[in-house]
Amino acid sequence: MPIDSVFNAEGLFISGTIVLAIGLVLALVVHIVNIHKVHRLMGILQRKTVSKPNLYKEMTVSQGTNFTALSFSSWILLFVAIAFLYLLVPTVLPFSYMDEAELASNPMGFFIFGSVIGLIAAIVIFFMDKLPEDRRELRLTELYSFYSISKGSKMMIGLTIVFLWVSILLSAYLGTIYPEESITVELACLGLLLVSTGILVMPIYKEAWEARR
Amino acid sequence: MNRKLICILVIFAFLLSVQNVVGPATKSAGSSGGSGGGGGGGGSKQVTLESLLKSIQDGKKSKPAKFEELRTLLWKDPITSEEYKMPTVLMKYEGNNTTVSRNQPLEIITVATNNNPLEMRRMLDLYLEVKEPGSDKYERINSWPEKIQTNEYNEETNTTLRIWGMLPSFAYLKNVGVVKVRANISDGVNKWSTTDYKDIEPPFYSELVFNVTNSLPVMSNFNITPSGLVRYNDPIEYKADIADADGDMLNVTLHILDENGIELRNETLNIKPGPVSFKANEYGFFKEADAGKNFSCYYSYDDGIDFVSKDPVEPLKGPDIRKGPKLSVEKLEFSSSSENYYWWESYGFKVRAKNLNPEGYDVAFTLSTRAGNNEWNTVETKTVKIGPEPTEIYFNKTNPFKVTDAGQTFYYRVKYSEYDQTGKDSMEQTGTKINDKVVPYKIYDGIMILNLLPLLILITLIGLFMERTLKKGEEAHEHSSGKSREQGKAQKKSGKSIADSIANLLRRG
Repeated sequence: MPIDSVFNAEGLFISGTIVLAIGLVLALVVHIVNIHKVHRLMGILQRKTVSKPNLYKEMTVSQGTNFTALSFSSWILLFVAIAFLYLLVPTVLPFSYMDEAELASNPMGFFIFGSVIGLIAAIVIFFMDKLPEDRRELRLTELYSFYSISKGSKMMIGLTIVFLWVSILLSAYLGTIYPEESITVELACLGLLLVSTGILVMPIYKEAWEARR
Repeated sequence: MNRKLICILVIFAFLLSVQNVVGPATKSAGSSGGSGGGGGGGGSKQVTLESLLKSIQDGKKSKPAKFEELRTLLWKDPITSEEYKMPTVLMKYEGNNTTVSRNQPLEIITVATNNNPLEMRRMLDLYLEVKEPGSDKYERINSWPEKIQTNEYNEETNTTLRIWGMLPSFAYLKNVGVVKVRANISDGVNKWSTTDYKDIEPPFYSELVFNVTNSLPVMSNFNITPSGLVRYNDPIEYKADIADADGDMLNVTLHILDENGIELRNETLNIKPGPVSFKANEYGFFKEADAGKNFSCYYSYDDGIDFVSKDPVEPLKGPDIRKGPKLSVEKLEFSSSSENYYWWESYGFKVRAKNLNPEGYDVAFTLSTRAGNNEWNTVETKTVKIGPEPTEIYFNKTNPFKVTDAGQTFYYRVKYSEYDQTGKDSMEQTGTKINDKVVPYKIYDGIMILNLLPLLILITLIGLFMERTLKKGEEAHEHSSGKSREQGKAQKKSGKSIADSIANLLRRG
């Protein structure tokens, strides 16, 4: 990508999308690396091989019911917000919800679209929870159980619901004006998504940062 | 036979003498060089065809008397006069009935019997001749003779035959009646006809005599559409079926009669057997002045031989032309509730019509629209009394378009139950491009709040439900140690209501 195009509005949108994708994938990798490091460290300290189920049992920290429920909602909302930004109107992808004109013009079309995406995300998260005990690091439902999260961080994670809802609202606005476009609103949506994603994966990066120190 | 044998022996002797007397020195088959071949004197020389011919040519000049003698010896008389037997050639027909229709397939055969030995036989030329009804002379069917070669006779019976494929039936005849068929034969010397033979027994004949008949065409399934009262310029069609067993080209004439049974006009079609159709508009059978009149019709037809002058005998009734208005239609327009031309907006259409005659008639107007290349969609039908004063027909507040029409140019059409001044029964106009916008709501519309707020609530509830189902919050530690399962079982046993569970959930910090 030429450097000049990065700084125009469309370039910013594409760059932001790449950052979002990298941020999420990198968080997954860093999370796995974090767990692996702890596992190795425990083996060294105890001078014996520690099984992964035992490691997870020792590592797990209770984060509270309300926070956990909020974090689940935040993650589902994150996937819905991503779908609203990228699938509601054609932005990066050539197809969109607007191709289904009958549904798009339905009075409850946005609710139907968001609900379907939300339910799919919930089902995927739910079934990921059924992964084997030695693969618990891949369970999104237990992501925050492996990290110590401050009250402030919890509040921030809770606050992502607001950011993401605003992002969805702005995406819905883009849907209502389609085929007109508003790159400003698209960038605002993307910004809110980036901020929310950053907050949601912040404990992972924070742990990795602290471990490095 | 003796003469033949003597002849061959003489030729053989002559060949031997010629070889010794006048033949040039010939090379032996084994010799390869010029000098090597001369050493075998006293042995027999091999005769080639070329050397024999050369010898004869030389002999013709040097010994003309001997040459004449040789020619006399070799000459074979082309006609073996007294022993040659005339071949017998007869017509053969294996059909049971000699009364045949024109299109009936026939198999006319000529059988030749030649009892001469092969070397005495001569090639026969056959000509088939037909005498048509009313004619006093035979016409030759084949311009080139059908040849029977000397070697094609059956070895046991000495017979051969010819099936005359060029005369498969008498469909070509223009008249029917008695048809005679014979064959003329020539062996190069003699000429004779099959009619020369007398007292022949079937299936052999000296001449075939057929009584050829014609099948009369038959008409059926008479119909005039549409039935009932029609307008003079409606697509009126006279239909029927005509059959002819001979498959002839037929002339079918439709006769149209007025109310007094007087023929107004007629039209003729030259067709093959099958459906018959006369379209009134194509021939301009009826004019505006015929409104209010009743007509009838009948057909006449022929196959070139037989003629049917009236079918059905009692003329068919119809069509009955009804009176109607002489419409003048103009100014077909549309309007939209806004200049945005969104698909969801209401559109209005109007057209102006009047009757050019003084009466008033009920006329049905049907509005249809289509977007792009889609099918016409009927929007509304209105029946309005149209008199001499111009009347505007309105189609107000219609919603003719669907979301899939967005972004396409629309067309609108009003169809009327009568014909207008141009002879058409509809008027069509091009509208404008429908706005591309798909979603008919604004972000601040109540419906959008109804969409997005429940969505937020639903997702929050899904999060709560998942947490309560998976118990990942407070019991994360216990989950792995198996306590959560025990607790879960205990909870199930306690039999708490759903309301209690929700209240509990909300109380938790």
